[in-house]
Amino acid sequence: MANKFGVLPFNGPVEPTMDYSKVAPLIGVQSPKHLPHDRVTAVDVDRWCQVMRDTNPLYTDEEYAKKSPYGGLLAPSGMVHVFALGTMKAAIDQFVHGKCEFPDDPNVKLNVVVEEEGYTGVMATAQRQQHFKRIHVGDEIHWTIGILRLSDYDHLTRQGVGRKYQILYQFYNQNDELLCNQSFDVLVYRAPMSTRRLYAG
Amino acid sequence: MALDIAEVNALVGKESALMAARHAANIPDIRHWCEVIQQDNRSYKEFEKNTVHAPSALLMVWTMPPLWSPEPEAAVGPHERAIKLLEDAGYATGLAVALEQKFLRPLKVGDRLSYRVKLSGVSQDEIDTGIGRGYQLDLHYTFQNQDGEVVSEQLCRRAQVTRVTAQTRH
Repeated sequence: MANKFGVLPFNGPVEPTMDYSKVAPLIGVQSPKHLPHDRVTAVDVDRWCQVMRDTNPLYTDEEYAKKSPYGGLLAPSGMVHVFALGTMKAAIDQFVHGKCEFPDDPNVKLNVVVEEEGYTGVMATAQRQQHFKRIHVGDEIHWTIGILRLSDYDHLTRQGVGRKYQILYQFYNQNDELLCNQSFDVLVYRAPMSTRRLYAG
Repeated sequence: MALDIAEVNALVGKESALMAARHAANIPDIRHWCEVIQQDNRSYKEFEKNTVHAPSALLMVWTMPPLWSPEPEAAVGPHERAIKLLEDAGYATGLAVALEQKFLRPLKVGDRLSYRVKLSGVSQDEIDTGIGRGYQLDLHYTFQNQDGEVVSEQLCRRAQVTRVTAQTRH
């Protein structure tokens, strides 16, 4: 029985936490390959270089790049995710109409479970990229997504009680060569009642 | 620095050199545009197969100056010099007031556009705006394709004003 402040005694009933078996089949499975929304183009690379103030001629000087060992213009490796982002229509469908473009992807199924379990808060906490091959202008970057791991117990965080999971993106070119592994760490949490009330007005 | 309106007047009727667009009319920009205005959501491969013409409204996208350049460019065109004179005299806030566009020829994928800007008019007296007092400039843009054919003419009316802060208003 909670006291008048809503605090449970140490010998009180244990609050239910997420049943890991509901998500275990989703861990370690990569989605099928998805198509990019655009080919890698010199125009997008040039705009990226303007914003980043990157003057590397391998990215923007076609003559220079042709004479280089790469034989043509490259795209900065950090751009790899640019071409794999969802389209504007997909974003509107997902965030306005609640219709996901790839409902069978493991990350989408995982999100359904964690939301049902009350972990409604989401926070991105880290991202790492490991690059294996250069990206060339004209490439078509295909991508897969999967869940590498999910914590099997609750963490006590400043956001509330939550679970951490790690998404793995894998990017391939049109020749099926792995360009990059990108991990993306996410915390999903049950916001404390005080926070929920704040947002609920 | 006090404004000598005669210096600005001397620039009226003068036209800039021809300035080349940084990028040709291209399919990724067309695809993005169509997607954002929710006109078309085909894949880029479909666009690559079928696209011949480019939306005319994208013309200014391709002729915009770069966001950043390693060597900052000085104000050389008459319209840029007029704006600089007004800025130096304290009329530092630019306001776009109106834009009239005439499209004379269709744009095609791969077109290499270029343009000139003429300072076609300046108000002789200060004008009063909701932001502050200043001068009105008329800039006449002429856009052409790689064959020298005029594809569009546009009149951009802008005001350069001294921004009145909330504090000085009260």
